[in-house]
Amino acid sequence: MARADNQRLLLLAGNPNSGKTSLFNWIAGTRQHVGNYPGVTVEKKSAVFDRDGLHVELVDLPGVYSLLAASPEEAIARDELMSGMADAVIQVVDATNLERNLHLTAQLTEMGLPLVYALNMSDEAEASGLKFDLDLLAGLLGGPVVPTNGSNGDGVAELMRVALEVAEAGTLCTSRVFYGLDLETSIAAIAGHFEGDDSISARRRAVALLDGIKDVHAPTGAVETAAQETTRLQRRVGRPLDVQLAEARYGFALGVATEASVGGVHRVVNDHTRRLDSIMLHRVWGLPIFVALMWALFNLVFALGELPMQWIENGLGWLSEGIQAVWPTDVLPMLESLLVDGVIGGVGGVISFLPNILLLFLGIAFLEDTGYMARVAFLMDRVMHKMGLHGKSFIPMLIGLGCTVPAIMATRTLESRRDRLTTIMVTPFVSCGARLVIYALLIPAFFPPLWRGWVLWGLYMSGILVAVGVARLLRGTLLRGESAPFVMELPPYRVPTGRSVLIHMWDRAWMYLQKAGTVILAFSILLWALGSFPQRRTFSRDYPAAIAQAASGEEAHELEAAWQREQLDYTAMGRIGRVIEPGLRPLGFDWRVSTALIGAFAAKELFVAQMGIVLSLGNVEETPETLRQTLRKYYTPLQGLAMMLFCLLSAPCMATVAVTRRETNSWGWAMGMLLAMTAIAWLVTFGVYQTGLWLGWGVG
Amino acid sequence: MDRERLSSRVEDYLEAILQLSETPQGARTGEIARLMDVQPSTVSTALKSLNEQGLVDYTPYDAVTLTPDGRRVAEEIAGRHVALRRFLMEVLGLDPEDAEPVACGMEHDATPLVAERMTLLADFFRQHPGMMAKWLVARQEARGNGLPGVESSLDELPQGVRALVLSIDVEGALRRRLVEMGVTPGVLITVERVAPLGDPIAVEVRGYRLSMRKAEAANIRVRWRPGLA
Repeated sequence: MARADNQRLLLLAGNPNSGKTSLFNWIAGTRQHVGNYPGVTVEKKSAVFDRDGLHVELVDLPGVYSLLAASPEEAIARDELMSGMADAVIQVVDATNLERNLHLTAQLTEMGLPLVYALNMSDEAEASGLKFDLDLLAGLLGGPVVPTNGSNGDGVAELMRVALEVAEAGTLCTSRVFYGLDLETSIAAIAGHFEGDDSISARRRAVALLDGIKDVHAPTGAVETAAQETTRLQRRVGRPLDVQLAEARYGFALGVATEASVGGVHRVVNDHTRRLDSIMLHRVWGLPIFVALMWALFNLVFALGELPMQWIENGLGWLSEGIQAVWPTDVLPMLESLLVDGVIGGVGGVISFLPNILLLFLGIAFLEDTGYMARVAFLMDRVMHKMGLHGKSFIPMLIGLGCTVPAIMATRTLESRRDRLTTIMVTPFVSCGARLVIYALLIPAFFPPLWRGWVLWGLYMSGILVAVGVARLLRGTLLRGESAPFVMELPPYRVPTGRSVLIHMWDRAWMYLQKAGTVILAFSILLWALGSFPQRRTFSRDYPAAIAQAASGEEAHELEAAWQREQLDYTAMGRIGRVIEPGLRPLGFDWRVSTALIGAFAAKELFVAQMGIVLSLGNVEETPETLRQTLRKYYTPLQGLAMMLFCLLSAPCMATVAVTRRETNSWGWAMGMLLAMTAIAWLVTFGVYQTGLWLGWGVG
Repeated sequence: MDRERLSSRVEDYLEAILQLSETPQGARTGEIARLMDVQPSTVSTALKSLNEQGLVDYTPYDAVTLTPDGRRVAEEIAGRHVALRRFLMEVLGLDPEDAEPVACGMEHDATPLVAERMTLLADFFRQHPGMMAKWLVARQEARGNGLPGVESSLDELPQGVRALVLSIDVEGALRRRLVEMGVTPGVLITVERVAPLGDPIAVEVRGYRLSMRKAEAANIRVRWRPGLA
């Protein structure tokens, strides 16, 4: 592909937890674009900006430990590096963990790339007594080394300057790993078969063949020689060849780290992390601390979220009143209704819960950036493994507390397809923020203050219990087999920077908002239309006249309700609600709930907006409290509980189905999820409601 | 000096003068005396003798300089010292504080050929980490008063005990993952922590922390010495 002279492509490579993404954030700022690599579900982060008259594109490659293409991320990183498009490659190297980071360097040096090294967290390394001779390090690594600090952005400008200089000059990395005489002889023998290749790429492919990588383009002669040499070397050294190669690469990493460090010390025991781990992962206290942290997270979300939530609700109330006040009577009353009931009522109802969701994501971003998230996987793996999942599945499920859509996207960290699919299928059972909207309306409507926390806790737990059952079922049937290795880094604890926590939080909140802004707006209008048309012209009696003549306010209210019912009965939604009502009656649902559940499929939180519309058409001055009063009038607490349970377990929202289709690349899994969840929800709610009735809870 | 051996004392003087001649004030009698921990009068006597042998240019009360001959000898000694210290530390695995005095003693007896072969051997081990691992195992086994090391799988290693990785006895994705994370034969590993529910475990390897399930750790053979934390 031809590129203009002033265009430069820079790639950012590095280990996970090397601070690569925070460096990227410093360079890219708000100019970043998040998308997907074509054909796979690996996230592609890039930024385009102008600098010194150059048009620079910077791509943040997936964080990997190795380039052997064992996972989709590794394959993507390798392919991008090998595409020959990059003008310079920046490897972000964690100075506090130089040896392990340089193992990736050992593989990078083989690729014949213009390499620049960002020695990240060098300040942290220095604080813990590690000092490196940068010139010597640059010499050993065969490319310039720039110290950087991902938490305050120090060195970022210099890094860009050096990277563009290297891009300009096209200086290739001069360092090579020496694999030892035996291996080098074999490599040379194999490389001899690659005619027409330059020496760098011949050597790289020869090593790849010895590493047992399947998709190397190689002449038959090279493949045969590689097979012979593999057998010979394995017999000779008595160790598998991939292990021998890794040893040599670590030999290089250890050698460079030792030599370039002042005093030969390049490993440092992170006392701080050790001390924190002895508390956070304590045999006795580790789990209580974990549960307490999760509980604190929830309280933070609710306590802090309440005030802004009130503001938003009040603001929306004023907006509705304002529109009604200035709207001329008899001019397009349906448009007024659309604005006030459809748009403000529907989307506004969702936006008012945004503070809660932002706080939840803030908490999760904080846990990720401190390093505690990896500990969560560590603490929970035993349980998750018993469920047929991976410790890493816990993280998507935790994110699922906020929203199922990013949670399903977060399953990308799982390497095995089986683990990933299982996690995707059970994540929707984890109660998301949208369902919290439903609980926030219904729980205070039906339960005394003392019970509310416990009902909420119980709902979340039921979701998790069902998820366990389904995961076990799936692992025993459709997704039987070995799970992926749980060999995972426990990164050092770090104080997160406000900036990266905020960017992290914003990324996810934005996904939620986009969903609220587009899908929910469209569907709340569609549902408003379903609930408004066709319009009924003739009623069983003349309601306006009857209401005007009503003897008491109570009678007038009853008449109004009857009028509403007749109106809604006639609309498309009322009709659909009635059609499905018999199927839902054993769960304690009437046609109103059935109708609202249609809305909940579009997006869970619409259940609330929908109940509002269904219960109060014509009466637009609704606030949650009056809606709750109305709910109390129509339903028992048992019915309220059944509604919440059904919303928790039933058909996931449309966005979840869509993202499942995208992430599994199969309509089969997406539709299977939809049908299975609805069936499970019906069975569980049926069981609970009927048991409740039998015990005499729902009477009166 | 041809093949005539100088006394080790003379060599020490030459080495000290070489070291001090690179400082701004140069090699003066007082400095030499301090470095070698002797009386200044002893130094004066020695310097006179060195002057007579044509190894240094010495005028009392002035800085001493090495003659070309003296410099050649001093540099040879210093080079041998560095080669010896590297051999002692890298190949024999001595700590710096143990290696330094031994190197100081041996530098006088080691011939240039010995120094060259020692450097070659250190280079050889650096280039063949597999060999290094075998040598490490052998060393580990012989350490202590013949008390044999215990061989076990990593999941049986008690918490906090340092062990040497011998082999990774598993195929496929797990082995690939383990070696790329740095769990290779010859590396030292410690079980730092066991998860509260009993599984997985957190290990320390190559200066960082890694977690793995016990079932996975069971594939890693390690050697360790009971009672040696």
